Amino acid sequence: MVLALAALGCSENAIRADGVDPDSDAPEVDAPAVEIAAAQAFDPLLGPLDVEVRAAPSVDLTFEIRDAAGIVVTEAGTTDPDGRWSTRWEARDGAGWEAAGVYTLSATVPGAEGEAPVGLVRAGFVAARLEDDAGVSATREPLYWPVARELRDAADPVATLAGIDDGRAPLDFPAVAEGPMAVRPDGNEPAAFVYDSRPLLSLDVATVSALGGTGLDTVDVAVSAEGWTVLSGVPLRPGTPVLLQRDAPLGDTIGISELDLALVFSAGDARLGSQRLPLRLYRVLGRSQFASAADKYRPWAPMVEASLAALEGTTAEVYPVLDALVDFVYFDLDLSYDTQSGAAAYSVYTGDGLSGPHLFLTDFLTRRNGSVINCSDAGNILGAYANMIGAPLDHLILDPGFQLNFIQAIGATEHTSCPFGPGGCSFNYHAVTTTPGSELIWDATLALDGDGDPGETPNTDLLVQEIPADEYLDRLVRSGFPQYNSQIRGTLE
Amino acid sequence: MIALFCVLSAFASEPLWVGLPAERLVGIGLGTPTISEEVPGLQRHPLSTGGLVSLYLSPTVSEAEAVFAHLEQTGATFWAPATEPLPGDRAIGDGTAIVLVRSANVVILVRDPEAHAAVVARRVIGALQPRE
Repeated sequence: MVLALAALGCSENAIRADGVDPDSDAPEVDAPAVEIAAAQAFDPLLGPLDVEVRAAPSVDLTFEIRDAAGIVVTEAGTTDPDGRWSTRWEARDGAGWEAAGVYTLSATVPGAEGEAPVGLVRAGFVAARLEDDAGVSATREPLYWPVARELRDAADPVATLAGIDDGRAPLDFPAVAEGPMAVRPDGNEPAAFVYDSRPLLSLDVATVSALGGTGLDTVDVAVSAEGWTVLSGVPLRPGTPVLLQRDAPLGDTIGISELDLALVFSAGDARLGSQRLPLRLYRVLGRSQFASAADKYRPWAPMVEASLAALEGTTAEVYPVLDALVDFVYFDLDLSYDTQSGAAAYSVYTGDGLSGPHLFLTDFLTRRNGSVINCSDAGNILGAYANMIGAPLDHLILDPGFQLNFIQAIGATEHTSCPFGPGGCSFNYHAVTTTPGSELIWDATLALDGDGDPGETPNTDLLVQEIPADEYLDRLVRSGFPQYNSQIRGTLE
Repeated sequence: MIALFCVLSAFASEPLWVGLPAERLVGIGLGTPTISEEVPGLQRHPLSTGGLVSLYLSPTVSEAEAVFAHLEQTGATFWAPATEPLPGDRAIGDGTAIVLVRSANVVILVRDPEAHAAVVARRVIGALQPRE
């Protein structure tokens, strides 16, 4: 025999069962009252319901739990000298559980009877979506997954569950897989928002559970999450999404926010358990800055994951972001310069001459052609990272060819003016980057000599971050008359 | 005029290639190509020893010559002089780390960290499928 008691939160249910109206002038009948103290509702997968009956001392009582079809549980007992009797209901039904819904607790002693409703409920969500409000307080940027060539936006759930329990225990949403990933992970995936957004979270209420249904159509259950405000959808009802919004902006810098939401369910004052929802949110500077609206010009998830992990805490402005990206490409990607010929591994120019810079980004992500690159590659790679996280960056050419001052090429350990060996002291052209309207240069291919005489040793490392265009030429060019030209946003595939 | 006619006749008489058959890739050390969606006629093959073979198939020899000229300008920032005879109808590069070759209507750009670029280019030319 299983004694199950579902209690609906709030205060304990106390019912005067002797039928006497306390406001009546009629003399009271001296009959013992029966009070049933239990929670308003409970989730049996989280534990049983404790019930206490208060009646006259040392009297026999009959306790029943009934559903609409009849008696589910019956138990006999005797109150103690203090008039209390307690029991516990696990809501088990053989190997399974009693059905979700509202039950009636009933306690009968000689001359009196008490009843209280109790809800048997399983609350949980099976899908989570992250949304924005078109920039009023949140802007979500869709993420592109290059292997599957799919774009995921607010209509697509970031986290899903096949069910809210496994028949025995509640289930949380899975964690997001670690590290840059080209393949979209099952169950929980990252999403990108502009850094100061207050994301909106839409949750789909479960309709089935280990109890059959969920009981949410007849039992009022609320949900809360610390740091989030529920906007709609409470009490939970199957088929009606719950909408919450984060109270505070994600941050004032770019990076990655790892959130671990505890979605707490309650019925009145009674807590019904919680469901965990991990979220990984990329805090980007702004929307993708590529000119094309095609899916592949939205942020690529593996690119954003890698760059923002490295740029965590960077000031959310264009120049600091570009500076940090030069560090990232120059130091962190294990790339080195092609000192044989300065030939591209991942780039071509699709227009006339050196116009139309184009990056084979899918190949670069897997290093399909190795890690030895040239300036065209570095410019395109830097441009891809920058534009994808909202920092506008154009490809820019220096030509005709020129002799070099001292430089330290990417992956090199010392400065040289002849990166290609004796007789190889010049570039036929050079590719750099600039943000529109700045007349500043960012270049991840090389570091300049930052001292007063870049044409001679000793040399001082100067990363090319926000270098004025004229100064850049002065430091790079030993002889020749290269000009800046062909400034354009790159393309990719 | 006679010289021009001879040049044009030479172009017209060159056999044309239709491409590189997939079944010959492994035998010449090339990996499965990336077919560009943005650059018509471009296939990019990783080398089994590292590096890259870019193969541009043009409809005509004259168009391939334009591709060659474009890559001569954009394919490298430093073209070292050849250290050995180079293959094809026209070629530049040192033949070890890099070589740019035109054979009829096909242009091949080889970057080889193993320093056998010209050898790789010859293998690729030898594997091309001629037009019937």
